[in-house]
Amino acid sequence: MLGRGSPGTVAGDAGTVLDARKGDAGGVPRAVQGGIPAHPEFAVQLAGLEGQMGVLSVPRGWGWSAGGLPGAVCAQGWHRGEVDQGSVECWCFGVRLVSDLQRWQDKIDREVELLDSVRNELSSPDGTRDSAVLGDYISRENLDLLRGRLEEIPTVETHIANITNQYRVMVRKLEEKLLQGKVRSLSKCFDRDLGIENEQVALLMTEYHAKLLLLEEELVELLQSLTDHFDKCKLLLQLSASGTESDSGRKSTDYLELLEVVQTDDSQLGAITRALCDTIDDIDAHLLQFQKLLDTKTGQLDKSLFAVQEVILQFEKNVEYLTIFQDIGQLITNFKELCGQDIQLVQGLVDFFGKYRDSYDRLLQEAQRRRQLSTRMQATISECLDELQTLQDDDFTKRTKFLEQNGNYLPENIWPDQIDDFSPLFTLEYTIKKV
Amino acid sequence: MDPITLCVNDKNVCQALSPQNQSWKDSLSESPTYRQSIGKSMFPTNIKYIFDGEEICNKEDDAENVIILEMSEGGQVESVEMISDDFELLRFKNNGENPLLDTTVQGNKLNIDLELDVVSKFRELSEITADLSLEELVNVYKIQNEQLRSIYNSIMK
Repeated sequence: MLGRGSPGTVAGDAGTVLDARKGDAGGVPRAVQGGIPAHPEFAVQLAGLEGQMGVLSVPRGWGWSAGGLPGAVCAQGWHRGEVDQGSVECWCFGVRLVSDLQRWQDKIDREVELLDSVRNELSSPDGTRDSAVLGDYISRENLDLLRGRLEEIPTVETHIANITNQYRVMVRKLEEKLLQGKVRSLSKCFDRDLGIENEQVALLMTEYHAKLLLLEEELVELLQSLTDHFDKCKLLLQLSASGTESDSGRKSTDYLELLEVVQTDDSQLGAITRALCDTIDDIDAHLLQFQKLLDTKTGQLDKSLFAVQEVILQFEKNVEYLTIFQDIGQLITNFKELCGQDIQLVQGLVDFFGKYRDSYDRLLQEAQRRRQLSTRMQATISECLDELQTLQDDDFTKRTKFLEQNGNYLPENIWPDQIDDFSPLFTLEYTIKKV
Repeated sequence: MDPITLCVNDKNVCQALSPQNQSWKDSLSESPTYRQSIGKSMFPTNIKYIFDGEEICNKEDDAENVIILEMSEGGQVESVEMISDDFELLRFKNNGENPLLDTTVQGNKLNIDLELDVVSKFRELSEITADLSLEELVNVYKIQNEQLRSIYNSIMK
């Protein structure tokens, strides 16, 4: 799709595109440095944005097959999606824009050629000077506008191919390295080390827990028996003291019974203390074991959390990339709009030039009409002049005759300056413009 | 009357992208602050209260979600934690009057109107994002990343 039918098909090999960039300082592709006559700023901007994507350099030999476009950028995100036509539209110049540009450039070329081929008959009617052509009277400023755009398009398309590549690499990396790789292994590791199925976790949660609870109970029991013994001894002491005071020599049955119990307990005191020490040791050992296992698990958890952090950072970075793609998309959209505006301008010019030629034809008719009118006017004046001349001649004869018959009898001052005046009664001044 | 009014907003982008939620979808192209104010709201009713020190007596009690509130002496909610298989807590807000600050509230009766922003499990989006523009899509990912970041931060606290 991209580049089909347009000049300079997109480089199929990603390597070439990137090599061009690597070779230049500042990350500006050679094609851009070569200079684009009409609107170089677009390509420079584009290259600048691509520069930001530098991290995603395309591995050598990883080719891009023509036909696909980053429709997935619009459509799928992480998910490797089908390229749909609607989103392709906004990325690719498409054959239509190129053919439109070409068509209107051809039209205006033809129009200008026509204007240049028509001699202006009015500029030098007698042919003494070099005659001008209609094309001499128009501004040549915008005539190559679309040609400039057309020349720019292969470069822009190269850039698009480049970012398309980068996009594909991004999606591939995301899919393979991040999703299939990091995220999957993270989730696997988590399930393996920290999941409920994990033996150690089960040990911590159930067995160790139960064991510690058991030991705690044991401890409580032992302590209980010790305090019991202590209480009994205390009671015995009290009984003994009160016994001596009340009836000396005679021990109460309570006292004797208690004494027996205390004596039996006392004989077990050593065993109980030993049991207590054993239990304490047992608890210490278990706690140590518990702590060790817990530390291992905490370590694994920290590792997992660190990996999660990394994955989130990757996600955020990828969104940043996407916003760069967005910017590039905007640039391309702007470029397309500019092309559209230029086409409109050229359409206006073509329309204007056509009307210019029509009006020139009508101008020639108008000049002809004026020439004819001038001739007619000249003829009318000539006729009039002839008639006046006849009248004048007649007048002259009549004046002469009048003076011959009456001049001698009339005092000169009776009609001063008029009696013997022979100047014609009429003067006629006229101009008729030679057209 | 229940001492706590609870409102839970699911901020999962899927809620925004479901076909019957056009207005939220429109908001995808809006500013982030506006985005924060919307979500699918739920009002849990079957609430069982367990107070500190109380044993959970009924073992058969199959609570779906557990919300742990830490309150100050004055009855202010200081922190909220959530234990749930389906949701993660993003943030909370108490819209109730504070009895210590507001003297018009009768007595010292607690009035907690809790609003929880939560997110349900992320789902496969490719189906529902198919007709989104790049801008909307980027916003979807931005929202999800913010949510991930927020959950991560609350784990690390």
